[in-house]
Amino acid sequence: MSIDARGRRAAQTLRRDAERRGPAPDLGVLHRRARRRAVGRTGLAALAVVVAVAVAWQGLPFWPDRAPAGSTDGWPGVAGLDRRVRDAVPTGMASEADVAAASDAVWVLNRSQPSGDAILVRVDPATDRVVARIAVGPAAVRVAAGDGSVWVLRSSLNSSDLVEVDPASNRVARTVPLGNSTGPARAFGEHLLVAGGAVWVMNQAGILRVDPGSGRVMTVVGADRYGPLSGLATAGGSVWAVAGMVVQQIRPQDGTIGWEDAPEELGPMIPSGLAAGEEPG
Amino acid sequence: MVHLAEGFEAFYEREYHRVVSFGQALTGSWPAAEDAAQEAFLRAHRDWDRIGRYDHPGAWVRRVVANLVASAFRRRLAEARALVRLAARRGPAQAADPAGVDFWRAVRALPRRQAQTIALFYLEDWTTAEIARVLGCTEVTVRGYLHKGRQALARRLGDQDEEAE
Repeated sequence: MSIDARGRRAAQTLRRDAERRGPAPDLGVLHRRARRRAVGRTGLAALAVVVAVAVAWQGLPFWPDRAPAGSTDGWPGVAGLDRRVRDAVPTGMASEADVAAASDAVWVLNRSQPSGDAILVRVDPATDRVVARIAVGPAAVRVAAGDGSVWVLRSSLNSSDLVEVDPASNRVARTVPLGNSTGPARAFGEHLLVAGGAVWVMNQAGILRVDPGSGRVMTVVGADRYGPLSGLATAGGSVWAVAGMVVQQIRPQDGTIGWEDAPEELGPMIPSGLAAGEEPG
Repeated sequence: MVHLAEGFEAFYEREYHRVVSFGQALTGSWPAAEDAAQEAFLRAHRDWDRIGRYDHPGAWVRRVVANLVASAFRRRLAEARALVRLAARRGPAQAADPAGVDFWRAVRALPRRQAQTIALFYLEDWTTAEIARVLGCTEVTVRGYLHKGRQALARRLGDQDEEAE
């Protein structure tokens, strides 16, 4: 068959395929979609201005040339670290750590104990003192606090679980198994979140919603359908996740996906993390 | 020819599928083609008082599409968005014609201007003058693109007759 014949046949197939997909969308739909994108662009532009002003106000990032060790006594008001560091508390040797803050406590997960077990260190922010050290076992990777509870995520090659720490007694209250993850990896790394009356875990199995009352674990269906998960955060009463280039809003009450879109404003990079926050005041 | 009398809606209805087909030929991706076509039609709609007076507003829309689909990022973004839209309501799978798929894949492997020329030539059955208007170049240049493009396609797709021309 000649190139011309092939080309005409291929063109015919393409046109037929296009027509099979239904009529042209209503113009109103197109305009609404364009308006939504314009609103997103305006929001991002405003955010960029706020960030630029904040950076200009606070000065450029400063990297301390040496890490402090031992006691805070030798630190001249701690200001020697960085003029924006207002306080520091030694919590022990740790090559890797995670931290979570509640209104009355800062929880530091110290993962580098000689025994291999992780220690959860509780710091009183009012006095800068370590008030408790709680052994939470091996393979602890994340800590999160919220709704009056503290949770530690432990994750190993074969299984993972959640450890609940009672902040009233500074003791491990219980362990909630999350099951084995044997399928393909659905996420980059692990995240832990307490939000909307539930505990949220992002790990190799996807996004899990754990009911803190019953300990029931459910998977957020479809969370990873656009690619591997890379971030989990909470804001505005919702849980937010990133999968591939798509940002998803998850309803905290039942773990179903509400809104999802790939915002053009994210730029040409695939997101590798996510943070969210509330507007002050 | 003044198209204002026709009205944008009629122009949109008549041209939509053909413009999306053009985008799909260039990208190989229906969502990316649809996204670019819709963006192009929206721009035309906003400025229809001017564009409707052109001899060939369809050429203007295709030119916008050709520019939009040249961006790989936009293509990837459109695909992600389309995945979101279609996740809940997947339609029946489209029966693909393997020969057609191979042909357009070979077209997309050509240099960009050659690919655009070939797509317009076969899809729209346009003259070289009309194609030149879309691409913003001379007819002689279009004939050059067409000749080189067809030769390259013949080599890739194994059409000996064309290659020998």
